[in-house]
Amino acid sequence: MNHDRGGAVVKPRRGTKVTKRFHISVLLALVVLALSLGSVPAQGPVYSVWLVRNSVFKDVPAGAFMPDRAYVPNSTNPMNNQVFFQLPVNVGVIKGGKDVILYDTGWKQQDYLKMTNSVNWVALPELLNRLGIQAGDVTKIVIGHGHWDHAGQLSDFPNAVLYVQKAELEGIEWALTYPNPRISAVNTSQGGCARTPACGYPPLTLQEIYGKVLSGKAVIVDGSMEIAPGVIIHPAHRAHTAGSQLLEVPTTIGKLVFGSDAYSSWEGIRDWMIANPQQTDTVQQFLAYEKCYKITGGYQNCVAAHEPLSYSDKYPITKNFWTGPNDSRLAEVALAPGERTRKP
Amino acid sequence: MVTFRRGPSQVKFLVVGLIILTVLGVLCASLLREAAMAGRTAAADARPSLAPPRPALTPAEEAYAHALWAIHGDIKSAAFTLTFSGLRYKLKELQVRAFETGVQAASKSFSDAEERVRALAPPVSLTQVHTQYLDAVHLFQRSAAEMLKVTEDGRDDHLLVAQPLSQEASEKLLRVGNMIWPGEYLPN
Repeated sequence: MNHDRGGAVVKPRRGTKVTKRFHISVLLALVVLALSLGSVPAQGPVYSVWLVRNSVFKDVPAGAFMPDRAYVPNSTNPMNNQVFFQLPVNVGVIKGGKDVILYDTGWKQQDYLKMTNSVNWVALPELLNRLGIQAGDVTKIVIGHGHWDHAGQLSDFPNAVLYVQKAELEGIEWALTYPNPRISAVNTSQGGCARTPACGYPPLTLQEIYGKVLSGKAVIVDGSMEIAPGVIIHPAHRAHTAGSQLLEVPTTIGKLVFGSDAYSSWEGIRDWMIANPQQTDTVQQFLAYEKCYKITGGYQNCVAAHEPLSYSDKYPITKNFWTGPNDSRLAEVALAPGERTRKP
Repeated sequence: MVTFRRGPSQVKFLVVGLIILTVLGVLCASLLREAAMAGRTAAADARPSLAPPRPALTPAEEAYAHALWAIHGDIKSAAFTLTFSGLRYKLKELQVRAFETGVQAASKSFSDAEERVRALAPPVSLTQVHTQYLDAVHLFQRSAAEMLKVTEDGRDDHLLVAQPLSQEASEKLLRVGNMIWPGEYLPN
């Protein structure tokens, strides 16, 4: 139906311009539909993701964590006016299909508490309970690297298969058997681990990894690997340690990339500054940053292990957080369709 | 071209305007300085306080810690050899003879280290630490002995029996470290 200028209703005549307009509209609609279908990414599984804080390393000198952010007395520059950082130890929890996947496992030995001036420690199984997940439900563990504060609770997840890079194991062994004791030393001096190639790998952590291998619950990854539909390990060798690895996870908010200590600081990724240079090749760390930009289209969805801004609005993917036992933190990053919120 | 001639009243306005601008400028500068100082003070106040330092070791304890540290490096090195021998054997990257050589070397290191630890005289306050360290060395020795049984009957089950012993020993090393070598492992 149509209206003339006077508001009277007139019937369109067949074979007139109206029919042509209708055909053109349909055609245009089809073109728009085709174009929009082309721009929608292929539908695949998406996962629910939470980030939990296993503990906090207290009062880490800013410059030790990020050289470009070393404290300068009396500086008003926000990049250099902080003496210390409070560094969370973050663990990723990924749930979808039949899998519960952990990215890193934090640490548990209370002896480290005093050594590292740590606070707010909570056992990872207890944090998972707050998400309605039991330790026995965990099917896979991807460690971003083998340092004690990232691979420290493997034996608490008896059913989980461990994914570790071949290059990580080779790198540790190389460092520990290097002929020059200054290089092979796990510690360079009494009371300090410093940054030797073997620093960060106490015998106990390696025992945990070895235990997984012995029980047939380990996959030694050589490069990339899809460990669940859409969940992909990417090598980031030397981006923090010899065999660092990233984990790509599809979610309803887009793809996330977990980086462990290759992504120690989210601000570092945003501002292109190196962070936590233990056994880091800084060029490789930047390439690991770039990998996140390429996969996710920016820096917002890069998940950092020790970002001081975690669990605040300033690190947006962690802003939906709540407080757990011993003043710990849990953040709901993304929920798959049908998944209920765990936030109280 | 158009020119303007300034009369006496215009000059007056100009002078008064300049004075007002100067006063406003000084005022703004003072306010900004105050704000910056306040921010700096707030930042300083927000700095977390350092945790109270742990009580220092006595000279006798320090001497013991220093002496044990020299042995500790060899123990850790042997522990790694043990772990990687088992790991690489299990991953089929090591033949049984090479595995045996590695485990035997580690076993000898543990025995040598044990003698050296026994020769130390700990102060009374560290007797428990000393005992704990020796316990750890014994556990490693037992683990190595169990692992060597693989070379006799070819059964990997021995590795499964041996591994928890090494793990317990490693935990003991960590506890000793926490007592006398604070900062042995830093945040990584």
